[in-house]
Amino acid sequence: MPQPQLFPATRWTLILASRNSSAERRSALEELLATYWKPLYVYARHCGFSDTDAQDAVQGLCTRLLEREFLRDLDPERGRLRSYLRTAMRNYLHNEHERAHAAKRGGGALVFSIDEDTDKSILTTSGSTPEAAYDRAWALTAFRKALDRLEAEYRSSRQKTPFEVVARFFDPAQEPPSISETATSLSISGGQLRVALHRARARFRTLLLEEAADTVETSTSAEDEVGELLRSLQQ
Amino acid sequence: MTQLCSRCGTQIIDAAGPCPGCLWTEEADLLLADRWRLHEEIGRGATGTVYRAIDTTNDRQVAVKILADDLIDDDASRQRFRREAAALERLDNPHIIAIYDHGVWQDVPYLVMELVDGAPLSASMPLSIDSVLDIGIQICSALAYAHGRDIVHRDLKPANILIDSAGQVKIADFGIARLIETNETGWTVTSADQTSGTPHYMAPEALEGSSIDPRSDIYSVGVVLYEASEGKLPIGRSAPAPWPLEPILNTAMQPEAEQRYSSIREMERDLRKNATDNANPGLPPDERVWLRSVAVLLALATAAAIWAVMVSLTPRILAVAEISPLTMFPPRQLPDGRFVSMARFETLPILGAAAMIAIGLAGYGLLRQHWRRNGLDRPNSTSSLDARYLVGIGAGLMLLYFGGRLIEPFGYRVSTYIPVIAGILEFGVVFLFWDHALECIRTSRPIGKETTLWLGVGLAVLPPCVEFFTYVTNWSH
Repeated sequence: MPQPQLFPATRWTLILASRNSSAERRSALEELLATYWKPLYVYARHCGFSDTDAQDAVQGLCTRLLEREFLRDLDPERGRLRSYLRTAMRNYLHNEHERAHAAKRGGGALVFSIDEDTDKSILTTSGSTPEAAYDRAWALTAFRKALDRLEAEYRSSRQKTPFEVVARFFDPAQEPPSISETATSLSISGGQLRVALHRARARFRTLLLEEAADTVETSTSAEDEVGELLRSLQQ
Repeated sequence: MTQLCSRCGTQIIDAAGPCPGCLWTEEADLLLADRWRLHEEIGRGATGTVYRAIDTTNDRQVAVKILADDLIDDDASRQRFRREAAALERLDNPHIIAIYDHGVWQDVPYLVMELVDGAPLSASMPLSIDSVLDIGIQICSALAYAHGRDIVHRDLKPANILIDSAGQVKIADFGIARLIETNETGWTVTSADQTSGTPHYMAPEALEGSSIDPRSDIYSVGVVLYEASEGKLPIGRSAPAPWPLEPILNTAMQPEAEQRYSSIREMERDLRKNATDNANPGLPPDERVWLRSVAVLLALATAAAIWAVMVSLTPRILAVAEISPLTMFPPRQLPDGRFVSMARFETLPILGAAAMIAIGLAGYGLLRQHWRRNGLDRPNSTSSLDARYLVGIGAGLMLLYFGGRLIEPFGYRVSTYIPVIAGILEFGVVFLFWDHALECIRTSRPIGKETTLWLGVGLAVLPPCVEFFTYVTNWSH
């Protein structure tokens, strides 16, 4: 088993490769848009659009991206999904939104739904520019996805160290608990708890890298993408 | 209002949840057993996780395997961990992952192993036949070594076979490996844990929990190599593996252990033989039939062409009615009124030969197309054709012709059937010539350098040429 982790076929490369069937490409794009529509909404809001108009714009762009012609004309030289969608949204807002909004596009599958409770922190992301807000929202979306997957993995297996315990060690609102006290309360050794915390951190890194790898070309380093996302959150 | 983490300064998603920035960046790489500094996850299975780690005593990169969190108190899993360590400790082979250390740190069992700079076989399938043969030989060699030390792997699958950057195979995960016989450690093949493994790669007897022996690994290697070659498992009505793997994998994957190779060495030997042959890839039997059929067509075309030339160039005495002004020069007339024709355009034989040539060329064209489509035309110029039997036939024809001439002065006469036999042999020579020529074309070998072939053809062609020249010369006089 020991070998460097590989990210062979990412969803973005699957979409870019015209040899794949259009159904496959459309399905992969649909999945990615279902996750990454929030940064598009944030971008539209920071461009001065109202909540309803921003939702319309996201809906309009996503419908357009999922049209057959878009996939046919997609340039395989595209780098990252993040920058591609940002440019697509900017162009859409400049050129087509007014017209599309007036016509009230219909028929397209709604790929997103706003849940103010769970997505509040992402949807209200601020930034000095629409681009900065977009990048932060994107980063939060990717981080949230990885964190949700980590939690789901913990919940689906009989881990000796529950997710809540791990989460406490990375909770920014409080000081990290004592290792020995926590280990005693769980009836495990300090070493087992240290290993469990390392396990959680390493697993989170892997999941986040997988999320990032899904939106970049194989040749682009997922590590670089995560580094950029992290910087956007720390500005 | 954006909330930032007080520890790392990252914008947090949820005030009540963990900070992703801390999870990502916090400097807390674990120092295991005061020696091994654990870094990122590099492999993950049902029973454990493998991390890249650094040996802090010498900065060497290693791989550390730690039992899965939910199994950490499970006795069977901990025993399996010890078993893997014990198996690896007995094995020192370049194609088996090396173990550096193992133990239990603060109640956490761990294994420290060689870090392979590469990827599992499963990441690069399907592979070319050459690569499958190469990898198969390395796997067999490693298993032969393990079997020689009474260890059966029992869980061979592409994910457990690592290929490093130099193309070297490293077999990993001896977690369910077993000693074949009871020895001083007290281990033997018992009923417990017998059906561990990955079902698709397991031999029928292993699935049933029957006795395990090295032939179970042979079955698994067969499945692995099939998948490596075809990119899919041999399930249901799967296509046969490509030549020359097919007969080897067929033997390896026999449901009955007795019908498989009796040892992994035998399988390795077959793979090696075919790897050598694959450098000069021979055609599988069904493909040989097509090559020979086209060789027969070309031989018939050649015979028809020779016949047409001979008929056209043989002097004849013709009756007046047989003179054809369009197909012959004005013949010389004999005193009795008949005509002497030294050479003519023999319409039927020549057109017949042309038709035969056209059929032969069409067959040749289709065969080339078929070879190209199926990747059967592989350049190779390292080995020579075995045309010795063609030399033998040529020598026999020489003996028939010149031997007959030599015994004539002593009053002996050769059988009247000799020309028939010689004719059949000559046709055989033409056929063999085309058979070899097509093989040369398929493997892009310069036929001009096939000296044995030309020697045989020369020996076979000389008697009829001498015969024909003598006949024409004598007729003229």
